[in-house]
Amino acid sequence: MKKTLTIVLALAVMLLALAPVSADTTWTGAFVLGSCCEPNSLDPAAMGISQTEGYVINAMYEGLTQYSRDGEIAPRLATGWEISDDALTYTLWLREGVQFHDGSMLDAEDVVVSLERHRALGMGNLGFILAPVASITATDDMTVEIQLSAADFQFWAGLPHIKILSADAIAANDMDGDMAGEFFRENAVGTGAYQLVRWDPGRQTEMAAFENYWGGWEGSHVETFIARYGLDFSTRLLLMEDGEAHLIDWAGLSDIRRAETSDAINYNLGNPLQGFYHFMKQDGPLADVKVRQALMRAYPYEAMIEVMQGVALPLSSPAIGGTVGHCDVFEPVQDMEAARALLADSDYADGFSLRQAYRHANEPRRFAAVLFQEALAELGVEVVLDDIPWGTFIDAQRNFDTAYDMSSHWLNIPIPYSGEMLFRLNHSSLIDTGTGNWAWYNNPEFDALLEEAPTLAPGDPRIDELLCEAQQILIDDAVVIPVMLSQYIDLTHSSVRGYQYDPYGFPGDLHVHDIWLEN
Amino acid sequence: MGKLLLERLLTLVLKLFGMAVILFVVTQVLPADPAAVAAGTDARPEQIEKIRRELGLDKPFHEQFITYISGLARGDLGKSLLTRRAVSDDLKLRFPATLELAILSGVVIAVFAVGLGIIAAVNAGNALDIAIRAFVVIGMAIPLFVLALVLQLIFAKWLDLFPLEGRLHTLMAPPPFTTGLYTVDSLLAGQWDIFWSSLRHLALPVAALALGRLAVGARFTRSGMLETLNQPYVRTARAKGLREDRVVLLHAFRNALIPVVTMLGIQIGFLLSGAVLVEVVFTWPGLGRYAVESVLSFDFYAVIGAALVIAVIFVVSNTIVDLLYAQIDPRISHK
Repeated sequence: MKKTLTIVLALAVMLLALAPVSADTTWTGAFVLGSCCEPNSLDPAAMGISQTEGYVINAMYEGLTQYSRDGEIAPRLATGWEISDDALTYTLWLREGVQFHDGSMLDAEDVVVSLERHRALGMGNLGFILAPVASITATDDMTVEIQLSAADFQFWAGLPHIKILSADAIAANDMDGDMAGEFFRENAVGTGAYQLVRWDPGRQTEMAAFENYWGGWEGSHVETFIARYGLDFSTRLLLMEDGEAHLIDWAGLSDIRRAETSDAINYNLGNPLQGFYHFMKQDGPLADVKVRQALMRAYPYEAMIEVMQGVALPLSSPAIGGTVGHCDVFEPVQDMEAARALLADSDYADGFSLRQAYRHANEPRRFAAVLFQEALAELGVEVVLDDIPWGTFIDAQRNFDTAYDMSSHWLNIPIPYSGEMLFRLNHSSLIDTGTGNWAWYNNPEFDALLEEAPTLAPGDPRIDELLCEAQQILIDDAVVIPVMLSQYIDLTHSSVRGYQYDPYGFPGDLHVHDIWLEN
Repeated sequence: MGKLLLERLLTLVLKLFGMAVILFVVTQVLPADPAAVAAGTDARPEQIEKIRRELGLDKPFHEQFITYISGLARGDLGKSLLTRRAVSDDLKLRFPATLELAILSGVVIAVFAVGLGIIAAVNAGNALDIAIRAFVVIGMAIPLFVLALVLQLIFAKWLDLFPLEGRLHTLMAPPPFTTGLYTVDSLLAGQWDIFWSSLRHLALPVAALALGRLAVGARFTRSGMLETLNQPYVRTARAKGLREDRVVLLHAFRNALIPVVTMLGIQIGFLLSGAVLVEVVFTWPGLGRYAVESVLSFDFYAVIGAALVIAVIFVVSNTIVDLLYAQIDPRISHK
């Protein structure tokens, strides 16, 4: 009897230990990402907008909120919230029973410490999201109150991207007040569905399913998530054809062609949150608004959409469609006659020469440069193309005298808010920084509109009015040419199921927890 | 020999200092902004400035130079702008991968180059010699990257005999770190499956790396052997009735070794300094790939660190070759 009781008790203990993983769980092996690039840090506070560390960080960490499938802010680690009428106070109630990978349980202290840490370190380019925060307070164990110094729409829209870390792990690994910066560069203690097993620099990062994940493991899931680094394009494709890689990030146009001829490879179009813009520095002939308007009309919009093989859409504004504050202010149609007329009316009717920076290795930028060069040649404008790497370009763009007359760029936005993109395109504070406003546009009226819009409460109709006016100003002044909206392309193996990104996420906002492999 | 070593050591220090100075100056005058590259394409100005301050790139050139050189004197190679780790830590991780590749390739080159060279020389003019010479010409003519891709296609993709890339199977963890050489560390840990996997992963990169160089080695050996086989002392040895294998290996080959050793020494230097193309094609996380990635991302301290390691390798391998001369031919003195 005693022996039977011991066995029953032992079985009960074993069952309890296994409790978090449902009996209905089906593990479907390892999900392998063949990544173009290795992250330089696993710290969420160092996370970038378009960097590939997103894949790894999003698998191991979670935010307080997330975007739902229809693009609304939805609960994640916070189950509910209240926003004051003046949009200055945000109260969030936390989810009970959430465990970190180090075994500690989520409470308000973790949120306060994580947000304060993110603000203090400010290593990544998401720091602007928490910039308006005045104070973060734990009002009780599971409630956090965030006070803003001024209302800022960008805070609430960007909060899903700010990850929560274990306060215990931060305290335990603090070195000389670095807020565990050194520790979190190569370690991870979040609440995400996958926990870090190891990072072999130069090779791969391996993550395993966190058995106590609050979301549970019912159904089919991948047991291991491995991000492999340093693979060149052809090797990644060969691996995928053999079923040894399941996801390839940052694929190019030529990969679409390859995918179309392979039964093993599918290509996917991510969220269209990447705009392609052509900047014109306001100097020499380009200081004349008529010349800029002429160039804007001469741009080969339709040809570019065709070149992009279905992964791009026309832009009807400098802002991106579907984001808050966007409005149609522009018709992206090439009109050479109108361009000729505008140029004839300017002081530069006899033609001139311009210098443009581009990247030959980047297919869309190469096509864009060549097509625009050909179009302008018809107008008697010579374009000298200069193929230069990013680091050299930025260095040149920090100085008006050395900056290129024209350049084209992809810009990603981290939040569905038009003002963010407009700010990065042409706000005067970015002049001479090399990081934006490559047109050297300085218009106090435009700046004021961008500065006022985010201070209004979410949902205030004035936001749309202000941002719409700002978009119209940019088009009237022909400061920047909105070329197209492109979609992020990646490739998946035909065995991958349940694959989806956040609707307003940037590359890497993948829900690995939802993924499983068939056969 | 002691004097030679001391002389080489002093020369090495001077060379390294000179190289560090030249590289530092060159990297500083390049028109590029490493802080912007490190921050990424969507960085905000304040983020770039923060990185610039953290890495000391906001300081005047002479201050940066003094800081770097004084650090170098203490063995501090600086911090990588890209990985944010100490460059010396990065090199410790990357160098063993290249070393393992180079050692195995070196063994393959030495064995096959010498073997094929001797066989060709002994059979000079007949079909076997012609076949080996044809192999040599082909081996020397095929560009390394083409050979690497062809090997991948045939032996990994079509025949599925060897892995396509990497040092180890994706689902395997590296063996506990002792030397950083997976084959050695896995043997030391008794992890036979990892040993076998790492050996299989070495097969194609070693073949790609070794083929062209062993062809050159075989050619050197053949011509050296042909010259010595016609020497009077070889005829004397044969006239004395010595067995042909003793004549060839003990009398002729030893005297043909000097140019072969010179060639092998230089090859080892090249192999260790990072077979860039092979490392890129086979996703081999070695020194060569690290150097390429560093150059492409304007990671100046990493570039200088990798270049200094490569310089040390060349000087050391050449010194070893010099020391071997005296062992092979006692007439050569290092006085």
